[in-house]
Amino acid sequence: MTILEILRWFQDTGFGVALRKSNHLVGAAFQLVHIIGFVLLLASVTLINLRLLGLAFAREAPARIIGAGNILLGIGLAAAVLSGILIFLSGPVRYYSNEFFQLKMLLLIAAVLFQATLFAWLSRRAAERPFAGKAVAVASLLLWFGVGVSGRIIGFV
Amino acid sequence: MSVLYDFAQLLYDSDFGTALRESQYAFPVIEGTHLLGLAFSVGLLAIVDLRLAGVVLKDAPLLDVLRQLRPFIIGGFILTFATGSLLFWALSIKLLVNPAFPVKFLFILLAGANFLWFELGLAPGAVEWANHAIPPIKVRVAGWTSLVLWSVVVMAGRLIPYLG
Repeated sequence: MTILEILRWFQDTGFGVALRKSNHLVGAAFQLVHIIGFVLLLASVTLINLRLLGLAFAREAPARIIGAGNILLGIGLAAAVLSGILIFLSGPVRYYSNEFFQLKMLLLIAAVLFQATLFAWLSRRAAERPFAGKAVAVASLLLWFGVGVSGRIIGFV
Repeated sequence: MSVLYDFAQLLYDSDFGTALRESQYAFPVIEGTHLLGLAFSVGLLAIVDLRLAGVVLKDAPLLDVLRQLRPFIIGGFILTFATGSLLFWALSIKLLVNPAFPVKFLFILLAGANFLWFELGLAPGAVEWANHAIPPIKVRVAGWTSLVLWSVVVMAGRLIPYLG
């Protein structure tokens, strides 16, 4: 079974139909959680990376800012992903075939994997290796803001 | 009010407004940049608000958090306002009749009033509590108030396409 077939099957299940036929203000409510979660996520990413780039909190240890930022990042990401799954399931076939949705998902997977591996590893050593810290900071900003901007474009294509 | 509507109609009918509204790429890119600006303005401000509320970064001196993030927050607000103005130029009349739009502006004004109260009423006494992990109740209230008001602004903005 291809992904598209699975999504078509889901759309016709009771849950899929209920989500798709629900009042458009229910969809709007998911979007509100999604945007608040996303703003918190992007702000946390910005906070962490401003520190790694040495543009803010230069006197604070990077680990301290990263620790606080990661908690907010986790909360924002959880809110955005959970609401995002519900938004996606309200029209899975339509979203799946949207090229900016595909781009957003690729960037999201890349951003999460990068943040959890290379970024986590190198940012912890930023005090000894400031250049590596700055490089991962730029990559992290590009990936996460790429997720946000491509997501914003989904509704326009 | 009719002056406002006349002005909005003028923007709506202008060549630039029409081109922006009908463009395939410019409009979504401005929407995307508006979101990017929001992350710096309202987003970083939310982190300051949470520090004022005594929730995060408790061991970082409060004035340091305010000063370090201020230029990025101001830059973010400039970007948000500039892209927001372009969006208004493109949609003007449609926005004026949208119920979410006046709500968004009302809450921007309320958030501005809360900011002035903090800046003029509370900040001058900051030397007394600047290094406390948990600031006095008035300061915590100002932080939570800002967080709630700006969240409503973002949500009202997101509702614009749903109520238009």
